[in-house]
Parts: sequence; C-alpha cells; structure tokens
Amino acid sequence: MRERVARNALFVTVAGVLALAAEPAAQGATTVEPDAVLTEVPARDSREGRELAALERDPNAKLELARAYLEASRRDGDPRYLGLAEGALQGLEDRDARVLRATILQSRHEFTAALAELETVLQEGEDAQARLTQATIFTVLAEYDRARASCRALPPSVYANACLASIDALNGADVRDRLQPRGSERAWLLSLIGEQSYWLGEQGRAERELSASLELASDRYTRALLDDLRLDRGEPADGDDLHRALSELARGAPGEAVARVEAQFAESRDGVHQREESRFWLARGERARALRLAQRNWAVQREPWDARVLLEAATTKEEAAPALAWLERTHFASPHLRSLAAKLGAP
Amino acid sequence: MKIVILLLSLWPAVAQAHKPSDSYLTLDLEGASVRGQWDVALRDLDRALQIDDGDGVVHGRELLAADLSRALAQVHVPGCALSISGAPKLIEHSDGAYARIGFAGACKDAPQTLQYDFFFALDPQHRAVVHNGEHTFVLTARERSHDLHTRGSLVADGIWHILSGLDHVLFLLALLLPSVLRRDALRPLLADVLRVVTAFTVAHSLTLALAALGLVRMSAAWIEPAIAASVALAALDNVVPIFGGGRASLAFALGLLHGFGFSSALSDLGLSGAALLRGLVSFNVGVELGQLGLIALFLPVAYLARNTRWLMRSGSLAIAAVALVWFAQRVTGG
Repeated sequence: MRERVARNALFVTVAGVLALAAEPAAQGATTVEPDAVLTEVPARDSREGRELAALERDPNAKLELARAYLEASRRDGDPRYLGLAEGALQGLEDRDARVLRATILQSRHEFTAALAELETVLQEGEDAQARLTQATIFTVLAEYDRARASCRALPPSVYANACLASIDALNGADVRDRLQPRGSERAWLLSLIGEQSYWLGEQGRAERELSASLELASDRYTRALLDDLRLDRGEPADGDDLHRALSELARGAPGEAVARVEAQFAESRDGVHQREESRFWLARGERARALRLAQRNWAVQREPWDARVLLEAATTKEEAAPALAWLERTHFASPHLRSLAAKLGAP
Repeated sequence: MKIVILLLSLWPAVAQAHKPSDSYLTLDLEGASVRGQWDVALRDLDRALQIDDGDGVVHGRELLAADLSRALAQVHVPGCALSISGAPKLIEHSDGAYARIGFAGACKDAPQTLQYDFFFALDPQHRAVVHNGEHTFVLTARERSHDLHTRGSLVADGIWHILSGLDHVLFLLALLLPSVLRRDALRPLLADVLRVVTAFTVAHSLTLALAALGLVRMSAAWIEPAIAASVALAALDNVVPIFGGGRASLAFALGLLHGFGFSSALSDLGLSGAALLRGLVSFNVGVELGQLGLIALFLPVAYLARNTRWLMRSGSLAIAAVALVWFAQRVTGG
C-alpha cells in the first residue's frame, strides 16, 4: 500500500517536472500570403538602403555608404551591417577606408587586427580618428598606459579631455567634474558622467544623467546602462531583448524575451557577446556555463561590466582571479564590485 | 561627418544578441540526385535581388514574384542542374524572417562538392550553415566549397553519448542490480532485465523523438537536476525499498527524463527535415547499442558476484552518493 503511494507520487513528480520544464516549441515554415507584410528593409532612398552595385566607380560614395552602414549597426544593434560595411570598403585602401575598417574590426572584437590596421594609418601621419579608436581599444584591453599615450597624441579638444578622463575613471578617480557636458557632444559627455555615477552606486544621480543624455540623443549603450540600473533596483527594464529577458527572469516568469534571446544565442557565432551570454545564463541559473563564458570574455575585453559578470558568476577567489587582480591594480571605484569581491573572500 | 565617426568608435556598441548574415542550406543526396532547402534572410534576399519595390516593406507578393533562381544560381553542385521547386515558404530564424527556397536537381554522377558564392560580394561576413544529411559545415567567403562525402555517423555519436554520459550508465546499473542480485535462476533473471531495459528504452526513445523533432522543448535547468535525482532514487530504492517490486514502470517513468537529456546532444547538430528523422534513428540506434554493450559487460560480472551480499547495498549507496553530488551541482549550477 505504502509502496503504491510512493510509486504514484513518483509518477506525479516526474509529470510535474516535465510540465514545469516544458517550453514553447519552435514553429515550422508557413505558406507565403501575398498580402502579408513579411519584414521591413531599409527603403531604397534611405542612406543605408542604396545599392552598392550602383556606386561601382565612386570611392567617396562607397565610403559614405560604409559610414551609413556603421551608423545603422550602432542604431539597430545589428551586426549584419558590419558585414555590409566591410563589403562596401572592399578594394578601397585610402586612410579613411582603413580607419573605418579598423572600426568594423573593433566592433567585432577583433582588437589585434584593428590595432594593426590603425598602426599602418598612424605610421603615415597623425589622424585624430585613428588615435581615438586606438585609445578606446587599449582601454577595453585594460592597457591604460598605452591608452593614455594615444589620448595625449590628440590635439587639445573635448575628445582629448574625455579620452583621458575615461581612463582615469577606470583607475579610481572621480572625473565627473572634469567632463563639462557642453557643446555638441553634450549627450555623449552626460552618458560618460552617468556611467561613472552608476558604478559609484549613486543611482539617483546616474538615472538623471543617463536620462538627460537619452533625451538629447537616443543611444543603445546609454539606454542599456539605464536598464542595468533599473534591474539592479529590481525594476523592470525593456530597452532591448537581453534586458527584457533579464527582467522576465528576475520576475521568475521566463517568457517570450527569454525564448528569443536563447534562440539568438543558439544561432549566433562565438565570441562577440560572451559578456551578455554570461549574464543571461547566470540569471537562468546555469552558473557553471556563465562562469566559463565570463572567463573567456575576460580574455577578450576587460571593462567594468566584464569584471562584474566574472565576479557574479564565480564562487571562489580563484575563479574570479583576473577580475580581482584588475580591481586591485586599478582601484576602480565601485562599491558593488568591491562587495562582490569581498564575498569571494578577496581583501 | 568626422564627429559622427568619432562617436561611432568611442561609444562602445552594445553587443546585441543579433548575428551577422547567415543562410541555412539543407542537402539531401540520394544516388545521382540532390534535393534541398535553403533558408535565406529576406533582408539579404532584398539586398541581392531587390525584391522590395523600394518602400521598405516586403509583402508576400513581392517575394512570390521574385526571380529566386538568380540567387540559387550562386549555389553549385558541379555535375548537377539545380532548379527551384515550388513556391518559397516563410520561416522564422532568431534574427527575423527568412524565405525557405526548395530546390532539386538531377546529376550526372553522385554529387561530390558544394560551391557557394551567394552574397559574399555585398557582405564578406556572410556564411552558409550547411546540413548535408547528418553532417554540418560552414561555408564562408574564404572557404566557398566543401566536399559532400559523408564520414562517421550518428550511430557512433549515440554510442559515445551513453557511454560517456555516466549518469545514464549509473541509472541503468542501479535499475539492473536487483534483477541480477535477487534472482538465482538465469531465465527469470534475463526476463527481468529485458523488461527493465525495454521500458527504459521505450521511454527515452519517446521523449528523445519528441524533443528532437521540436514538438516539445525542455529547459536543461530542470531536466539535468531531475536526471541526477532519478539516478539517486533508483539507487536508494535498492537499499530502502520505496517503490516496491516491478521496476519496469520505474524505469519507464524516469526514462522519460533521460530521453530529454539525450536530445540536447542531437539538437546541437541543428538537423531538420528528413535528415533529422534519419539522424534521430541513427542516434537512437547508437544509444541502444551502447546500452546493450554495457549490459553485456555488466551482466556476467554481476551474475558471478550475485552471492556477494554487500554488493547490492554498497554499490547502490555509492551510485546514490555520486548522483546526489551531481544533483547539488546541477541545482546550484556549480
């Protein structure tokens, strides 16, 4: 009798686990209805909708098209445009084309190749754009001395100032007073200031600064920071698929966004968004997977969020060693990262 | 312009979960003929063929009117004349809507190679993810052709999966221990083993098929710990009988979980259509062969040792201990 009960309880449990684990199944192909709207594409008269073939002999038009693609990739967060930009630059070897090519490589996290391309440009003479891109890449790689040298090679300007300030901010300084949000780059400067406030844990101030930046210019990076802040506070965030998915997971109600992001990661190529994948899998409860991704990601890029995903996925000091070493070396000012480090038993 | 570009490189781009341009090509080779389907993103198709009238919205009729053979002309299987078969269908991939273009062709001989040149002139980062029967490879601007000979098989993958998946092995051992150790006569012993193994096989084949065919999707976060728990339960039941005699129903219920576990190895290959069905069958045959081999090794040893009284208790406890460690690891994600 008792065994009968145990047996039935087991069957009910198995059925329950299966019901809980079930997720919406993928759909198959469907018939094309003539009147249905299938997708949107850039209109032919938009900047990124023009045809490359029509520009056959005009290098300037090709450069302009490549720039339009790069801007579209930023605006839509769509790496497909990076490939198109590379295609538009095929066969072009002037300085502008090479700097743009380096920007494409940078966006694809091919930092070594990007630096090599920039080096060939800079050997022929100074170029502000090339220097700034170089400084950005060295900063992402946490090579701060070389990044500073690149900033110092710039002529004095709001860019040179912000270039050095962002590096100092990563090395423990509060640079918010040095970044006067004025002039045509006001939105960008406000975003930099808001980012530092975010890491300093001054949430109210960060929210004001990031929102002010977004009011001036819509930007996915700034929007993502604002969403990070909201998630940290336990509020919903909906700027992009990843943040929508993280919101759903924080609510304990994985839904459409989680399914979409998981499908995207499954179909995507390796490498470029390991940081985001790590965050996703940690929220999904797969810590070991999140840790592997965070460690591999750290080998590629070393910015505060890269440190954070590694610290959050790690359970021991050893697992997070490179991020802890970075924190100690830079004195990066962030109470949240410090407390994550302390939890792992770091001094 | 300068300023815009300055910001392009300085404002770090947010890595979206989007991806560069890929197409998905599934080939089905039989003798001297080729059949296949090719999923091309509508956005890429529009860039290559200008299927949209220019207003930025692609309607069904624009896709139906497009001359897709101009795109297929960039896919070659030397010796074969490929042509479009039927109207294109619509399929969603993770980054939007794709046209599914069916094609077929007769060949002079058995097809040897695939050459692919679509879209590289516009986007050098474009790739074709090709499923040739059970084999998957990727073509890029730098590697535009690949041979179509088939090597190895999913039968081997299936065998490997059960033998290297210690949780499935231990589960089977835990289930079989009492059958061997509690019966003296060979005949009822074998009948008992057969019942348990059949129940397990039917159950995991069922769920493997459901998952592999995409009819059901399961979250690994639930299934993996549940599999570990099933191993622990099966082992503990040998020490402290919880569920009573007939172990076939136990093997069936818990076997359902294990089938979902197998399916992740198969779904990683990304097969579809007829290739998926064949892949499923070969993979499952592999799993069963591996399982039979395992039983063939285990039975004689256990039978000879059947009078060793401590074997059942200590063996089961050891299995349960290992499974509980797995369970803890899988729940905490450690």
